[in-house]
Amino acid sequence: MILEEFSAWFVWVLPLIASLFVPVIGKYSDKARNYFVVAVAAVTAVLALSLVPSVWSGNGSATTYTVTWIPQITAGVYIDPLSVLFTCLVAFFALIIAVYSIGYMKGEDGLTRYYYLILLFIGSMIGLVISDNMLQMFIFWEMVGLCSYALISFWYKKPESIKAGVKVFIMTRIGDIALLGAIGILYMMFTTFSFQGVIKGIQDGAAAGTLNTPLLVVVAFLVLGGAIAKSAQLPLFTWLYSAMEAPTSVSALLHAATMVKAGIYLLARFILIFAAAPALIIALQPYWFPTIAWIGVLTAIVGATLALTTTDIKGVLAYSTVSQIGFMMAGLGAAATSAGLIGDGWFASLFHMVSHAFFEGLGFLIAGGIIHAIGTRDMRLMGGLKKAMPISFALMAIMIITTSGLPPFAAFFSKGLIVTSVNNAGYIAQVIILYATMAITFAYVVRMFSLVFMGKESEHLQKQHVHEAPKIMLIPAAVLAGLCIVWGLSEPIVASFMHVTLAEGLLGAFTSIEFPIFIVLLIPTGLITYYSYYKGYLGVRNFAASKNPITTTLKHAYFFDDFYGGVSKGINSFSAALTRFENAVFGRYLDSAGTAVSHVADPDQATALKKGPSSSFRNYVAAVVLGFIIIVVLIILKVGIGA
Amino acid sequence: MDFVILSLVMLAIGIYGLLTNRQLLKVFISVELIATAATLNFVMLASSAGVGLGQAFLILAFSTDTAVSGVILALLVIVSKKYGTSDMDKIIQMLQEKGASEDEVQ
Repeated sequence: MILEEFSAWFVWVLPLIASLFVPVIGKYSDKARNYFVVAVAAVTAVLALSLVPSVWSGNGSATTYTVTWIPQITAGVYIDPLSVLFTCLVAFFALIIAVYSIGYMKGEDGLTRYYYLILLFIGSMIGLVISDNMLQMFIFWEMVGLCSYALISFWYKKPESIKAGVKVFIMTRIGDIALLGAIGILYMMFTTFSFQGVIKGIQDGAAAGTLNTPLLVVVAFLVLGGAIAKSAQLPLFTWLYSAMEAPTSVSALLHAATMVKAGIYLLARFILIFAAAPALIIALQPYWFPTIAWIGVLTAIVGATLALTTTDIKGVLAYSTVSQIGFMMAGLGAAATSAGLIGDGWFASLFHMVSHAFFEGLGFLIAGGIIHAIGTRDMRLMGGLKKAMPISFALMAIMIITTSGLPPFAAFFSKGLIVTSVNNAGYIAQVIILYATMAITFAYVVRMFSLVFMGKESEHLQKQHVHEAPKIMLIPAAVLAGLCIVWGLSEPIVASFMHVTLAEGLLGAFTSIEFPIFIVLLIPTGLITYYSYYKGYLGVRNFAASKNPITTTLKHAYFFDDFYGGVSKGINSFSAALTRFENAVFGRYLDSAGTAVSHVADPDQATALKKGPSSSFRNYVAAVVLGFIIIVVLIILKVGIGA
Repeated sequence: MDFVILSLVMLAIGIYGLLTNRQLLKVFISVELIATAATLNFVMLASSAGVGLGQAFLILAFSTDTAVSGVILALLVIVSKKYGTSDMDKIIQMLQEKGASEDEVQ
C-alpha cells in the first residue's frame, strides 16, 4: 500500500528533517518555533496513527520497505504490530510533551537547542523502533542516547546536570557495547543485518539442523546486556535517578515513557526473532528467560524500596520507573511456553509498557507543575498543596491509584496479566517478590501523596504564593489521566491489534486468585503508610531519619554507585601512577633526545628547548622533518633491496 | 595478519595516551589513534575476506571522522583561549571553584 509506505518513512524522517529547521525559525520568532514543533509532532502522530488500520486488518506478519543505502546495506522500515505500537506511543507522547513544554519551559534560555533536540529525539526514537535492520537500529539506538545526554545536561551551567549527563551517557554505553557484539555475531552467522534475513537464517538453520544454538544463546545474553543498560535494570539502574537533573518535560518523555523502554522493545523484538525456531526458544528456556525474570523482579523490588526512601519528588518517580520496568522484564522472562512458542507474558509486558507510559508520564507532568510553582524538588519542603493546587491534586490521585494497580485503572489489568503469566511460567519465588513489590509500590505512592498534598503547609510554602499550574500544562496531564482510566479496559482491543489470543479475558483479572491476595496486601500497607506520614504515628519518620544499616543501605542505593565510583577512582589512580612512571623513566630521556635532534637540525634553538615550550615549535618541526627524511630513506632502502 | 598487530599496537598506544595524559589535545590524538586502529582493522579484514563493504564504510568513517575532528579542534581552541590552559584537571578545578563561588552568592 502506498499510504502505508509513505507514512512508515515519513513518520521518522519528518521530525529528523524538521529538527534542522528549528534553529532557522528560532532565529526569527520564538512563538513560531514553538508552534512549528507542536505542528510537526501533531503531523507525526497522525502519520503514526495512519499505520494502525493496515496492521490491524493484516495477519500480524511484518511488511518491509527498503532502499539501498550503501552497497550491500539497505535502509528500511519494518511494519508489524510491535513496531507500530511503539511508534504510536512515541508519536503520541511527543505531541503531549511538545504542548506541555510551551508552558513548562516558558522563559528559559536556550529553547531553540531544547526543541531541536526534542525533535531529533522523536525522529531517532521512532527510527529505532521501525528500523528493518540491526545496523540502522543501532545507529538510532546511539542517537537517542546522545539526545538523552544533551537534554539531561540542558542546564549546562549547573555542574550537577553536566555530571549527570556524562554519567548517563557512559553507563548506557556499557550496554551498547554488548548490543554491538550481538549484532556483530549475528552478521557473522547470517551475513545480513536485516531482521527478516536473520529470521530466515534461523528458520533455514533449524530446518537443516545446522543452527549454532550455543552461539545464539550468547547473542541472546548480549542483547539482554544492551537492554539492561538502556532500560535501567539491575545492576546498571542508578543512571535513571541521576537523569532527573533534566527538565521535567524531558524526564517524562525520555526517562518515563519512551527511551527507557527501548530495552523492552529490543527484548520483545528479539524474542519474536528467536521464536522463528521453537527449538531455539526451548534452548533459551533453562537460562536466558529465568535470568530476565530474575533481573526483572529484583529490579522491581530494589526500585520500589528506593522510591520509598528518597525525598526528591522526581526521584520517587524515577525509582518507580525502574521498578515498573522490572515488572515488564519479569513479563518478558515469562514470555515463552514449554512448546517453544510466545506466551502471554510477551503481550503482558508490552501492555504494561504502555500503561506505565501513561501513569508515570502523568506523574512527571504533575510533578513538573509542582516544581514550576514552588521551585524545589524536595518533598520535605512541600505539604498541604491540596488547597492551592486542587486540579493537580485530583490528577495525582488518579496517578497513584493507577500506579498501585487498583481496579479498574490501567495498571490493574497490565500488572495482573504480568503476575498471572509469571505464575503460569512456574516462577514461584518471583511471584512472591512481585507481590511484595506491589505492596511497597502502594506504600511509596501513598507516602509521596501524603508528603506533597496532605498535612500542613511547610514553612517554605507559607513564604510564597503558590498557584495552580497553567492550563497548557494541565490539559496534557488530563489527557494522560483519561487514558489511565480507559487503557486497562481496552485490553481485548489491544490484544486483537497485536494479533495475540489471551488465555483469559477482561473479567479473568477479577475472578483469579491474584485479586484477593492483592487487596489483602494493599490495605494494611496503605493504612500504615498513610498514618505514619500523614498523621505522624508509629515513629516511621524517626526510623527513616535515624542512622542504621537499613537506612544507610537505602540512602546509598544499595552501594551500586559507590562501587562504580570505586572502580573509576581505581582507574584514575592507576592512570596517575602511570603518568608518574612515564615522567620518571622516559621523560628525561625523551627531552634530551629532542634536544639532541634539534641540535643537529638547528643549533641556535637547542638551548631554548631546555628552558621551556614557548619557543620550541621550530624544534618540533625540525624533528618531524628529520623523522620524515629517515622514513623516506628507509623506504628507498627497502624498495631498493626488494628490487 | 600484520595489520591486526599494527592496529592492536595503535589501540594500546591510544589507551596508554588516554590514561597518562590530561592535555585535551593529547587526549584527542589518543582518541583518533584508537579510531584509526578500528578503521584500519575493519577495512583490512573486509578486504582480506573479499567483502567490498569495508571500503564503503571506510569512506563513511573517514568523512565523519574529518568532520568530527574539525569540530573538536575548534572546541579545543575555544576552550584553551577561554581558560588559558588545555589541561583537563585544571579546567575542571576552575569550573568547580567557579560553581562553588556562585553557590555562595546565592
